Amino acid sequence: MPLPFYRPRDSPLHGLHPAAKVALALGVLVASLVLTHPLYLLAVLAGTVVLAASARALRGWWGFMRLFALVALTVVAINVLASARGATVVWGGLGLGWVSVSVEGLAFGAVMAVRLFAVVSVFTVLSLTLHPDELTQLMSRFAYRSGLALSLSTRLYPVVVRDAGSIVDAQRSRGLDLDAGGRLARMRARLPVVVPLFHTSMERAVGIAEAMEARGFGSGPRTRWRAHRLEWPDWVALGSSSLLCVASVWLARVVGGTPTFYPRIDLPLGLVVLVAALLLGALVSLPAILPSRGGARHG
Amino acid sequence: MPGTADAPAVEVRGLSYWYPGANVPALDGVDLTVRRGELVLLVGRSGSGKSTLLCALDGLVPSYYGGRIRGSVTVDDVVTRGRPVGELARHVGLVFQDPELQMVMSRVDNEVAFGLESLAFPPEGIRSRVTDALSAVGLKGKETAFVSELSAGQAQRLALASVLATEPPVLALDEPTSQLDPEAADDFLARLDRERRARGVAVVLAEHRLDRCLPIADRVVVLERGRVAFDGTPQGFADGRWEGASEAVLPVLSAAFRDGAPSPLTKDAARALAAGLASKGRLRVVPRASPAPGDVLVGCRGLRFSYPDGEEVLRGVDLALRSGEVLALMGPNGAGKSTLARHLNGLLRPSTGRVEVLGQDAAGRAVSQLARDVALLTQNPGDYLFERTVAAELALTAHLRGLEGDAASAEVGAVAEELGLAEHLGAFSWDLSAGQRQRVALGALLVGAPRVLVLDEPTRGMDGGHRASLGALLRRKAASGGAVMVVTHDAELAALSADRWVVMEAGRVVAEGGPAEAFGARPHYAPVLWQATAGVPGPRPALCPSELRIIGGATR
Repeated sequence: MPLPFYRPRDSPLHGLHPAAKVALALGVLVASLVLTHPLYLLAVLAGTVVLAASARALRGWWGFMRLFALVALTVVAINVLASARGATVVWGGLGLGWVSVSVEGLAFGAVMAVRLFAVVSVFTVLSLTLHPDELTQLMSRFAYRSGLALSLSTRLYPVVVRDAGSIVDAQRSRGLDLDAGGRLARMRARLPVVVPLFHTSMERAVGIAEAMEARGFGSGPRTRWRAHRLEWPDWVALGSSSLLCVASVWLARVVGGTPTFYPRIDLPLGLVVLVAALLLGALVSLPAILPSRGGARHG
Repeated sequence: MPGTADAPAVEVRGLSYWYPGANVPALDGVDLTVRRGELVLLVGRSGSGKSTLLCALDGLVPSYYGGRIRGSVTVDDVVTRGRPVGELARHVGLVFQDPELQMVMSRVDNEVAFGLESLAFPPEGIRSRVTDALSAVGLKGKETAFVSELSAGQAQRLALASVLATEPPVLALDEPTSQLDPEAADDFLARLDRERRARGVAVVLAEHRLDRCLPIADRVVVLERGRVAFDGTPQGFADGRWEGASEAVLPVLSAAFRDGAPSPLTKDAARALAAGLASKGRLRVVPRASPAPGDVLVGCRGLRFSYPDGEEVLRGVDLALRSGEVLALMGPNGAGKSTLARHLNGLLRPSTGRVEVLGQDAAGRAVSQLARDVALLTQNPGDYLFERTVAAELALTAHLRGLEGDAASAEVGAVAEELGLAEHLGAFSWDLSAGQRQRVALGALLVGAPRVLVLDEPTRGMDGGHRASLGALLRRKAASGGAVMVVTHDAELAALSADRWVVMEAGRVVAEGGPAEAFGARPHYAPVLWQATAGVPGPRPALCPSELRIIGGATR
């Protein structure tokens, strides 16, 4: 699967302080978990698409979302089939008690899908715009080692994929047929790939640890050569993310606009809901209109 | 702690070291002194203790590896015993063999800054140090590039910049050019030499490619089984002035002119010496016999290949590999050599054009079938190894090639014997050294005697002795009616084994034929001795020391 890796661009989002980028993603995560109204969730999702577009990363974003759609649809389908609480049953299943498809179940599944898409969408935008070194340097404030582990694994992921490819080539060159036989045979046939991959990766890990130590890693307190301050656009992004969290909780708990799906759909609509949805979408996409400050600043 | 000006940069006294669980010491009473600003070339066969000694300088041995140690190491006036590696990093900068294994960050400038940050350099001074170090190695302008986008040569220069930036008084480099093509290797060494002179740092450089390094060395130290066998001038080393000196550890030029005057240290000196000997009629080149060309075993015609992203890597290649011959395929990185090799056994299929194996179109045959006739050794020998023992690894290939029972055991035994693996048959391949593993992988391909053997860069990190044995093995394979194609940057391996050269550039064959044709068109693929004897009268210059005859014996 082509994971969404950082792509350098000159955009408002790329130029944000890494803390602001992470806050943005967390804001959308909270909003998506708290909100249940489909209109609100659609607005949040739309906001993340605006962000992707403003980061000039729509192509990479779509490449990953398209693949993710399959995963999401499977999750939703299982949920729809396994939930028997809907009143308007449209398909009773093959006499199996627990399988039934209802209009309510389908509607709930659709809302689940939108929620899932909103979350995945914003984290895709995050990983397309957050340089792995920014993450390391952000984490270095409180957990340098974890940050470094995370950034090293992003760096090494393509290397391991390449290793696996070259091992498959090597074993086939020797005459092994890795795809022959039944399932058990195929599992066994993976050993010639798994064993060399494991040992290669272990040796690489030991080698990198050795090189890091030789360069003074872990010798004591570190310094940071890029101590970026938060500037006003970063504060705006942090503010809009916080406001998004507060507004979501307020909309879900206080104002209402909370639909119910079972046993029958009850979807509150009206001007208030419409305006609230527009505001949510605007909050999410606000960073798109910030000035761009010359690409990623790397912590 | 700054060292006093006249104290040596490195002082090793009576150093012995045993890896955990080892009975034989990796280092056995080593004494070594390196003065400030001096470049010491550390020479020795694989497993002689070179890497161990380098790791002992900055404390990785013993604090990272464990094991027992005796004796003392003093670097920059600091006694290393009991000090953490991280602290010693201020005094010793280490550059390893594989650039990929030493990169930590994703961006070039952050990578250089990593060491400075780890050693807590003041943040305000880091930027200028990063800039200086990157310009010193010719990577200015690459600050924001991804480390993964660099070529091997650039990555190794980045590794050098990363240690130069912290300005340690001692640099220790472990075969830094072994993964680089000849041009990148020369460039790396030239920059290393310039920077160490400009900065006055002491350098300990472990290398196998000696002809390349000798001209920049101030002194040479030879390790044999963990002991110092020789410690003296480059001239004394080149002349082989120690007991047990063998061609396996000598530079090619020394091996070639051992019967002449003092050994030449540079190509120019060798050329002058050869010209002098030739003018007195005392130098003769006796080319080794080339076999009569046999049948075409593998051929391709009009081969074109593009990757799915549209990049055309092969642009119409014609090639015929005949029985009895060893063919050397050379050319810069990215020329399409490995891609071509992967077409010969069907791992890749041509976009247009045709590949024939033993007279049959390869298009209709699976890789597992083609592999019986064409064995391909890819660049990482570890990729082949997964069985519990070396014997099982070889037996598996025997089984895949249809050998069972006594016939299989006999074949496994014979191949193990030929590769010097007989004593390791019960070992787990991953417990063996890199060189031994490579022979296991080669063995796993040679079992069942496939007609065609294709090797991709088989001599990376290999010492002169093992290179000579590999060259001999390839000759034997060809002489037994097989055919060998070796994809290599190593002009010396080609010189030892090849009958025919093919040079590729940008997906096309640009030179082909015997050495005279190939090197006439592309002189920088010629081995060092060929370049040194180019003006000598005779059928052609010499490829390797065994082709050179000096008449009248030593004049020393």
